[in-house]
Amino acid sequence: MGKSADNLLGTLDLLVLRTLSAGERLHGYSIAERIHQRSEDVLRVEEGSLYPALHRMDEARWIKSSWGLSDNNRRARYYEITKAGRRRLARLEQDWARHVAAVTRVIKLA
Amino acid sequence: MSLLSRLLNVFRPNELERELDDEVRFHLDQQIARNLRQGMDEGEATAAARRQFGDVIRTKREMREVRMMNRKVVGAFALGVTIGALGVALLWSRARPTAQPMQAQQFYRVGQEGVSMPKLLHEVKPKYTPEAMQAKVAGTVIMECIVQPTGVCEDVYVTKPLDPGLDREAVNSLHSWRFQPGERLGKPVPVLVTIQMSFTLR
Repeated sequence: MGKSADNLLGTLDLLVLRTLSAGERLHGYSIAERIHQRSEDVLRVEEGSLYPALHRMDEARWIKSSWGLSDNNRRARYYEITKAGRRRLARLEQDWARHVAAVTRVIKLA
Repeated sequence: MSLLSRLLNVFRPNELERELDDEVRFHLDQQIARNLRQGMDEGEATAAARRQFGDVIRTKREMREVRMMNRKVVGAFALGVTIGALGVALLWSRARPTAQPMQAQQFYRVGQEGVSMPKLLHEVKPKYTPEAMQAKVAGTVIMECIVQPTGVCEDVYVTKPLDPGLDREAVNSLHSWRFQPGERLGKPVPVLVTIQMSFTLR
């Protein structure tokens, strides 16, 4: 199952926005699935954090949602990234890289 | 979410509820289907999907809170604009009919237009939580739900809660109940029912 990806330092927002950044419309289930797959099963986004986060980001207009039909003809809520979301993603990626670099420096010094 | 649906949701709390329910249900069904493909039997697949999702009620509450916070802002905005443009009288005539949640919901009540009562076919007893057992909590949880033509309960809403853990157990077990749907003119239709579950300790 792996570790849960909580929203420490905006990690969850970063993962979700990155997953949507190819421009595809995805429902929550496939967003979670892709994060899990791409992290090679290391990260598992918990649904309990994912859905409130999706709704929060929707309200913040970083993503937008709409209802559509899934592959199996079910009504599903789909999410896609917005322009503001791309700006947010760039910012979060920068923060993340800076944070990782800082932790790495501390580890090396210690 | 478009501005229009934001504005509509201001006056239609049940629409929001339905959307949250649909979204969570879709996720669970996807997971169940996946579990089935991996060789679990149906009971196992459902239980595993629910376990993995975790606390459905809490998650929905958090989703609702995110939406409601914004709704208040949009609501105040909508109110301001409407008063400015149309005047208070028109606002009242507009707000009243849409404030009726029944219009947003598509279901019947028993007896309404000759609609028959759904019949319970399969029941799953809710489990006690260790916490509630230790605290000796006993009593009843009353819920409302819509029995769909497929025979499953959707839009479960706890009208009389008892204890957070037991409420959750009650809602979870209700999702496994199966009904013979209520009918109108010989056709199955969605029907609102009230369900009472008792938790007793001996």
